[in-house]
Amino acid sequence: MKNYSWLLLPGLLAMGQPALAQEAANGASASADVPFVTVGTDIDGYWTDLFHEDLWDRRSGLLVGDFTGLPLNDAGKLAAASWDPGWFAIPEEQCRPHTGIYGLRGPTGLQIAKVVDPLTYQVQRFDILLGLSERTIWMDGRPHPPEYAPHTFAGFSTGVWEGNALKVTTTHVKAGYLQRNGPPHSDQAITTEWFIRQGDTLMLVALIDDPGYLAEPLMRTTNWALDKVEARGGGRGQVDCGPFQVVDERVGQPKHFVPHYLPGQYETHKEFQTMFGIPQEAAFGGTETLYPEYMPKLAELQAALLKRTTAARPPAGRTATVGRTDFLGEWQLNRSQSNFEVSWRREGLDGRDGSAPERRLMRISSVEGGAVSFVIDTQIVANDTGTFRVEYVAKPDGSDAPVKGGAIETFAVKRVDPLTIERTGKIKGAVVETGTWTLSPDGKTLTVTTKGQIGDQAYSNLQQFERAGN
Amino acid sequence: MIKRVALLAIASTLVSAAVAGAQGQRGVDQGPAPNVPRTLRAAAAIDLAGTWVSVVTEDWRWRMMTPPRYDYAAIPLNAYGRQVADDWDPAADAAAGLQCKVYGAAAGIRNPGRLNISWVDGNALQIQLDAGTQTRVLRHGARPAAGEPTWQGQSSAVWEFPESSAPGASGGAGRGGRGGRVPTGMLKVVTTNMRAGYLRKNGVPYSEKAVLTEYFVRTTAPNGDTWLVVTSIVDDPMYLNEPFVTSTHFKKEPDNSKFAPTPCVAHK
Repeated sequence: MKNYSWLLLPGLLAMGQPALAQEAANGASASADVPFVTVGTDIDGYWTDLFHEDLWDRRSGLLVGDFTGLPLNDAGKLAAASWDPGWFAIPEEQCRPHTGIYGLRGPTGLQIAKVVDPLTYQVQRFDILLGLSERTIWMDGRPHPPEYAPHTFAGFSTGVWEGNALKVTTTHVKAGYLQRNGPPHSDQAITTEWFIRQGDTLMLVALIDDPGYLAEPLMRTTNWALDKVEARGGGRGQVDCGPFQVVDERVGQPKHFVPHYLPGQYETHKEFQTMFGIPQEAAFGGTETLYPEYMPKLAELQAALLKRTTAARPPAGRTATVGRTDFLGEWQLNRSQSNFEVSWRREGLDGRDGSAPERRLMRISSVEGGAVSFVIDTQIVANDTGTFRVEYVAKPDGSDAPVKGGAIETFAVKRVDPLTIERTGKIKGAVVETGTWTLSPDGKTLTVTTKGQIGDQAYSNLQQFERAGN
Repeated sequence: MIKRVALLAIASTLVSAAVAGAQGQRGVDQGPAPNVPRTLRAAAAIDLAGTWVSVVTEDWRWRMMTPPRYDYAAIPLNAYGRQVADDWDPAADAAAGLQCKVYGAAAGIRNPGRLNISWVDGNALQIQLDAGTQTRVLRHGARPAAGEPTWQGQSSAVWEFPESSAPGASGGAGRGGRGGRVPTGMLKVVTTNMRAGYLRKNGVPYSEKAVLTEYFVRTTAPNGDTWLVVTSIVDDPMYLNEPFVTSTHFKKEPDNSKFAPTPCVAHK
């Protein structure tokens, strides 16, 4: 029998050649004579969100009045500032889908499905499936509808390949929002998008041109990682929402009332400005704020804001009417010096223990009648609730005071000594939480130890707070 | 049976050679075909040269100003990374001459500023960043990194084309191709040997073991504006739980008159 195996050798050698080009993609020097490689462009499949930028916008929600990074024009700023979070709760809006402009920014993975014409075998369209915000990108060369055609939440999208980028143009979208705290886009907005596969990452470059509310087109990018476990698919598929899912979330509110802030009534918006030391001029966005030249001006505005804030604050001790005056002021949680234990497991987006809040700011101030006002704002990354507030006004005599926000119904605050207070929380009259607040002798650090159990969930923590700018 | 195997092998040889040809390659001994560009510049899929200004529409609060201490949200730091970040001491950085830690390759491009991109030679692009007065060189065929790590590390670059528009392919887009299609593709850059630095101004670290993979993409808007988008994927086994992915965009400027180098600053 003759040996023909040598005939296999050239074939095997030739088959190995494309690998050299791929090596170049990895930065190897083996194919220095070939300064390019070819890559696949497939975008269809399952993709998992990456929240490594614009986290607050896309995941946990932004504070009222945070329009940083948006090239809003005057009309855009006015409309954005009028938005109240309660808007999402009115019956007319509870089932409203995101528009095509915001939909891909939301916290859901996506599936991109390529649909082939059964007669021509040409790609007819891509379907982007993400629950309530499905989109179709027509690839068959059909024109956009005439100007008078009805607008839809998804809009009308056509696509064309430009090399390794799928370029998509979307018109006929209904008016909506650019992000979930109110900045609007009009129904005249036109979006140009590029879907680009980069290894196992999918990047979407989106350019939103809206003469209604933007002073210049808004460019932003969104990234996903290839989801190789298709069965996971969680969060995908149609979301039921209709008359049977709509509930009255704002009991007692007049019918058809639309929550809003009137022009100039921006007290709530100042929380964001105070929390991060960003003056309103910058917080409300605008073209100027997007460019490097704005940084020196921002620094000046921040210095002026700090000066105004400091000047407006009474000298320490003047407002004291109860207890140790040094408790009064703003306190910022020092997360690295704090410890949170819970009987259930939570994991944060950044891999940390999700039981620990990302940010907590307490404002303690005196009010008339010898009482003390406690306002505690907490921002948690691990879920989608954004910032929540607990507030109460209590006399430091151990009497129960009603609580607004949170599960606990009353807090009793009792001064033990000038550096110590005790706090007791109750639900339906039963004690569910106890805590001790201890002020350091120099008044710079506040240590809070808490232990509680609500239902079957037990928790304990040691929180260390530092004075925040006062 | 043996004849079938032999014919199959010959057919396989022909098909594989055709595939290699479509990718601009010939036999290992022969080098690239005459019509296939041999340098990075000749194969350029897109024109990256010029001055580009960052337009900060994303992560504004983390980029236009220094975030508060402990604000590491969105960065997949592991426990050790958090511990190092917690110990951030800008005064100590300044005293030690480490003001440039946030201007290194892994994150320098996130600093608001301008890029000036130009060709150094046929196989190397240079990126000058005015924020921190830094210079990067993206070279095709860079040898494996050696020597002391630097802020900008050592970068190896290669163009990535879709098969339909690769240089040398029918209708290919590169200068070596026969043209006729939209010239597009992207530059992939892998950077190693970086000196340890910061991913965010408030001391979020990356280590010398980090590997940075970038994709440079150029698009043209309907209004004629030209945009550069750079995807940065930082893989750092020391401080990150998973690769950290961001995309940063720049608008092209008509000239470099606004390019204004500033020194490194240890942020407070």
